[in-house]
Amino acid sequence: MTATSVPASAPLERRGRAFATLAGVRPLFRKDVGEWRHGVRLWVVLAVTSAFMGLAAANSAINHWVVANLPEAAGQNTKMSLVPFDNLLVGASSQIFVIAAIFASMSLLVTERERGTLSWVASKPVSRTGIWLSKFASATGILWIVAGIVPMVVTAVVVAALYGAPSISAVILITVGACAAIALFVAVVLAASTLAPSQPAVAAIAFAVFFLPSILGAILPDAVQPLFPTSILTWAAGLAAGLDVGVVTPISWLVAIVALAAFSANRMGQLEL
Amino acid sequence: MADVAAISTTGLTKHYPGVAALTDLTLTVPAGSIFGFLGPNGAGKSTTIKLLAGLTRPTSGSASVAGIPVTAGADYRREVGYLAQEPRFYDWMTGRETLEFVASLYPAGRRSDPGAITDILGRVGLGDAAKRKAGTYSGGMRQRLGIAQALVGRPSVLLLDEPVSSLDPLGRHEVLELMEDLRGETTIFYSTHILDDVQRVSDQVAILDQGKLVRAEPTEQLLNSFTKDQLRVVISGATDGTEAELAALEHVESVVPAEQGGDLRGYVLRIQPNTARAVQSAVTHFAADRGLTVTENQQITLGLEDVFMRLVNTKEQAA
Repeated sequence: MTATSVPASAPLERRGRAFATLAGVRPLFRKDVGEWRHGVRLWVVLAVTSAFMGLAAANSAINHWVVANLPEAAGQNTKMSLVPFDNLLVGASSQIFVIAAIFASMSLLVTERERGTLSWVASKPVSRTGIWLSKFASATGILWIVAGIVPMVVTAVVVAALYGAPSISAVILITVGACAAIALFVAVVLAASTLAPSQPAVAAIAFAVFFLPSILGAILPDAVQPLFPTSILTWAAGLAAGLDVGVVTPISWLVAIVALAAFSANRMGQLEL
Repeated sequence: MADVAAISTTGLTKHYPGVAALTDLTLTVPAGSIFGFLGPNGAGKSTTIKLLAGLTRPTSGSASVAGIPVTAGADYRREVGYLAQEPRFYDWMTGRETLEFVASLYPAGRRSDPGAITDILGRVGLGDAAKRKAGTYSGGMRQRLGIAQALVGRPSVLLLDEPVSSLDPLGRHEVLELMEDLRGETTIFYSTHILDDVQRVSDQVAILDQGKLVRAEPTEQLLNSFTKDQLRVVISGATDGTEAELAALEHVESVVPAEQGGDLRGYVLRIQPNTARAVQSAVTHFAADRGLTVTENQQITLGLEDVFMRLVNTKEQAA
């Protein structure tokens, strides 16, 4: 009897533990989405990111027009590409969506700690991991739309209007890369928020992670670059360009997200509120 | 509910680097009581309440509410409604939305339905302001919303951290009335440094000083322990020998002259336990026999403030 009862109860216990870990995620997610909807942050990110990426994509066409139409610029040679795919990449390669994601999410947890609403919510029958996960899911989902998908659609429309229609698969792949980068940096910011006591400290950690690959890239061989989870956009662009980019980068990205979530769950449990 | 203590702590201790916020708190809070947790600023009251709310981990010791240990996480927090010292809510939510949000965090069996939320809002006097954003609420309204949200999960225990200290007299009165109204429905454990409030609403009291428990017992018992064995006697026509004569009465342990004015002389009689009536009667007879007039002959009543000061001072002197 004993031998059969253990495996029968084990899945239930596992389910119980999973429920306990995720306790309160759904209502907290709805609350967090509500908080985004009630603020102006969402619209600022949407406007700034779309405008920046659209202008970056239009840069080449503007440059050619200036050379062709302004007497002062006559005779100057522009080497900027008019190929749709190249200009789609120019729009995305500024990584303004990552910067916007860092700024938009760096206050999410820290402000709640400072205001005291985090301790209020944590006193309810919810798990602290659930609090973190709901913040991560809501911020990532919203930033995917306002800093990733919509600005990429705007960029694609600008590219189509100025250079010709880009390949749909390229647009999708680069958008996926942008969204993956957004998710990674939201996780970095929220993980940093469980450690650092203030928004500037959180931003400092996030920007250090953002710039670190560039610094290391100058030191380490190029072959190491795909190992960085932050290379996910480069990986997606390479895939869109038809290059053989392997699977190391998305695996590294996934491992980083899981590691950041696990670290954050542990830190959330330790927080003295 | 009567069998299991509402709150039980054993050796509960919280030390931060260089600060012993709470040391070895062993306390039992009877179910259904209004328990005043009294102490000066920095005594460790908020630390205790945060430990009981599951927001801070103890350095050592244990605590439980309704028999559920604080380490049980969400299961434990279902039994507890917590109000912070300066409660803050999401400014963009209305009062009603705040309670609906809190209700959504509880499992179906413990969740207050819309009708119950309306009742709670009415009970705390926020029925008319239910559709206003919480960010526009006054301090008193925020405090009442805080109590309302703590009630939503129908907890076994309400933990209120200084629920009235930041309020004006009217707000204080409203919140104390509300606490009084909740008597018997749930156990209320609240911290304060306002002694009058404790004396007014608490049936149990604990005094904390410098992170250590000084005393914990029913409020009346605590007050009586300081006052029941003393009589104040004022006699008209008393002489210098009256003091010694009073001291010679049965059950009187000592007599201390109090004040003297005109024909009146006052005395404080320290008497043996549970002999107040007998001594009062003896004093009356004593005066009648000598043709004196007793103008006052009653037990001394000390306020909680006096008791608190005596306890804290005694502890400091002992230290």
